[in-house]
Amino acid sequence: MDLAEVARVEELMTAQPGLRERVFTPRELAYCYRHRRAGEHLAGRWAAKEAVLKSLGTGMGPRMEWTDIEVVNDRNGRPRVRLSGEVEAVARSLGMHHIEISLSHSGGLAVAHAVLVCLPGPPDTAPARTTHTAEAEGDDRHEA
Amino acid sequence: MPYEGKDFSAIVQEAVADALGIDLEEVVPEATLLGDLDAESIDLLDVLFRIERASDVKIKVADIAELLQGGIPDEEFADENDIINEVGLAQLKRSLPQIDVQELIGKITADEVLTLFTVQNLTDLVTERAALATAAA
Repeated sequence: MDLAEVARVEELMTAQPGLRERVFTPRELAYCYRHRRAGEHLAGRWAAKEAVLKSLGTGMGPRMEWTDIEVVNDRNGRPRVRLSGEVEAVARSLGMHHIEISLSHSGGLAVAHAVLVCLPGPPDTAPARTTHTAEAEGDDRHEA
Repeated sequence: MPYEGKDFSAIVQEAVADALGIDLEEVVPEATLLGDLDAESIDLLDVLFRIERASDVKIKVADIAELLQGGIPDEEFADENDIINEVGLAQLKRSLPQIDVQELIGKITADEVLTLFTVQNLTDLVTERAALATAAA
């Protein structure tokens, strides 16, 4: 579980020109800044990246980039995670099939929940699921 | 910005203090960033970016992870429960000379390693990277 403040994320990305492009992909930035409360969306995506790294059990490891983890929204607005680079390599070495993610805002927090779903084992076993949650302060809304 | 024996401790100290909103006096060399100074990962990002802007020395969080793990594969660095093993602890001692290995045996997990990183460790890393950059130029 990790805590990040919306105001902190928003302030940091504003005060440090160039930093947000190292953390968020162009698509993530475009999505966030299309919305009035961009800071909430940035914080949510930040929390999502942290949650994904924790679901891998590695945290930010060697050769990883924040942009290796990209949160995108499908046509129904549901957030999905796309991995690349070293993060993807590590995830696949762990047998990752996909990562399920949900983002929500409640009680002043933006919460990111990541579930690492691994490739199934023998036929009589269920897929392994590892759950890690990261929290960030935000607002009281649900991000579909 | 050339190395030339530059003392980066002041730059690191100021970056940490400004990023965390604390007094310079609190940023002592032996203080751990994530523990003693209560920094979060977003704060570490801020610290490293401030150091880069002040010194032209670019360090990513992943670089710190690489320093700590020393290129040792994950499966050789920690056991199946992610507890750092003897090989991992020996590597940590090389990169974090201040740690007491005996105190950490069987206790510290892979994702807790970063909590051992001090202000001095960061200063040393910045200094080393600056020297490498100058040597490569």
